[in-house]
Amino acid sequence: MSMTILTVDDSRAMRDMLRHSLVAAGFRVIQAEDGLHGLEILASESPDVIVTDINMPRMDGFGFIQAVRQDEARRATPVLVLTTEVDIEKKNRAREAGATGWIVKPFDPEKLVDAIRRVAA
Amino acid sequence: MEDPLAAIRDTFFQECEEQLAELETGLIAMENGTAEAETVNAVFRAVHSMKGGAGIFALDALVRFAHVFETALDKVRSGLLVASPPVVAVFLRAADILADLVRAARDGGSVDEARIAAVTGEFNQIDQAGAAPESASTPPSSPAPEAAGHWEILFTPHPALYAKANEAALLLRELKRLGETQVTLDDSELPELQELDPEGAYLSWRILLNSDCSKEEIADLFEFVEDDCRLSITRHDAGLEGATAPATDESGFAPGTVITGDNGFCFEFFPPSEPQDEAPEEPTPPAVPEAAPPRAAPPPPKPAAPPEPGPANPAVQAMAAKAEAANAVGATIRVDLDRVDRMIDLVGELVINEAMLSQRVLEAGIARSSGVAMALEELEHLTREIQDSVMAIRAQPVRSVFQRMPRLVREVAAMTNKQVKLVTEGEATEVDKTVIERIADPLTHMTSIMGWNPQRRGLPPASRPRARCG
Repeated sequence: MSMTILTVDDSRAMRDMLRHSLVAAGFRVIQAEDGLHGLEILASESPDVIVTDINMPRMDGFGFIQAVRQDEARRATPVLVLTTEVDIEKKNRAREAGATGWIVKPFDPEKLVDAIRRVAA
Repeated sequence: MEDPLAAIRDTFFQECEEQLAELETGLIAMENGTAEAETVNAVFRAVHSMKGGAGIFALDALVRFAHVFETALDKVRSGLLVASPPVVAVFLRAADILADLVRAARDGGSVDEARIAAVTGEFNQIDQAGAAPESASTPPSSPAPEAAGHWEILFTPHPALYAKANEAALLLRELKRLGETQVTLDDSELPELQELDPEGAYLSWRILLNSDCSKEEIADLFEFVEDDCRLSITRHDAGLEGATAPATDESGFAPGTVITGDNGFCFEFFPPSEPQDEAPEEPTPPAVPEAAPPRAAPPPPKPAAPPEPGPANPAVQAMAAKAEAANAVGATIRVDLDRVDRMIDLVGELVINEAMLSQRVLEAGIARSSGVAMALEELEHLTREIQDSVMAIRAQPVRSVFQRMPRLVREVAAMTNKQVKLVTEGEATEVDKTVIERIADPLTHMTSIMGWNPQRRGLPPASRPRARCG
């Protein structure tokens, strides 16, 4: 059965690119526009891996990851941060919030898929 | 069939136009002193998002300039830079350049390098002069030295590295400049001589580096070969004496692993963090309820069975409910304009056919009280409603026309050395898309002419063009 990936990004172009790349790799993709939308989706979906941006309106990636980790059922779900940020403090903040990994945009589709498969293993 | 990447590119440029409008609106609010904290965040996100999207399509000039702009905005956001009028003026000029870079990327062409360089220089100046008082004495940031321990570097060149005349030994020598090294060669992939490809790459190195340098300093050494090798940089707390074989997580990554590759791709796998009883500082809104359990411990090994979809944690459910309510307000979909126009044409045909049918019924002398006539009347009513609804799809707020004005007014004001305040009212008024498209150029022209020669247009010198609608 194919893995389900939840992508959380406020950019339509980035969401479209992620969907294009991940569907081509055989994943089922669910998309959210920001952290709050992501939580709404998580009320009814159980993705195998979550890929989230950091800078988003309403609820950013840090808040989203914290909320995800507060849910007992989601503690083990790998959460990869996909961002253009390279700031070490922000990276540490994501790590403390419970992120599994940090990927810097622009992403290489093949390597992103590889990273998703490996953290989901 | 439409090329999906071309469609994504179109979406990117549509988003850029929206973000440029948001950027300008936010900067004007900052200029007027009416900006809130969220305004600055929105301005930052607009530039940040353009940079991220531009990276997908390798629009390097756009990425570079957006990065400089974003860095300055981030300083304002974090209180390290005061958004004084001169600083906001630079931001506005930068927004103009960003808009030109977007359009040059979309339509072809280029942007004057001198303009870009001038504004980049201004960013450097305000970085010094506009720094917030508390940060004025702060020395320029540099990578923080790492605590005691050592680095483990796994370096596997690809054939392309050697093909480009790079030499692994030179990189090892450069690493030695950063501190004491222990180098181990892995030749396990080396084939028998008769099978050896002279242009192949079979060797790997494991380097233990005793240094308090930052990870970035090490990665910098490999900057020119990062696309042509597999590189892993891992920090270990023990000194070189305590160095052991690398421990890997069950996912296959050594904690802290950095993988670099094509297109600047970089992946870092985080080691599990220590459990913490305290909530992280500055919880991001909306804040989680106080009754929520302490922040999660590091994720345990993945359970054999995935959690069943269904009711989630109450805290998450509460936030999701808020999200649902918020989404209900602004739920939109994007529809290709051709589809809308096709629907409008069909509804037009429906209206004509309905009128013809009414005429035939009238000519047939059917009584108005008959079932046929009453059904026809109902059909007419529904047809009009459908027509109104469909026409409303094309209606858009006239705001988008006015959003082009601040830049124009600013430029004219600067060139004519006049002080101009642009006031717009009724931006939410909805008109057909065609009207918006056709009114934009004349309005731009009028505003421009009035700015250049107000007396000739019957305006006293002190008067200002006033944009008004509704």
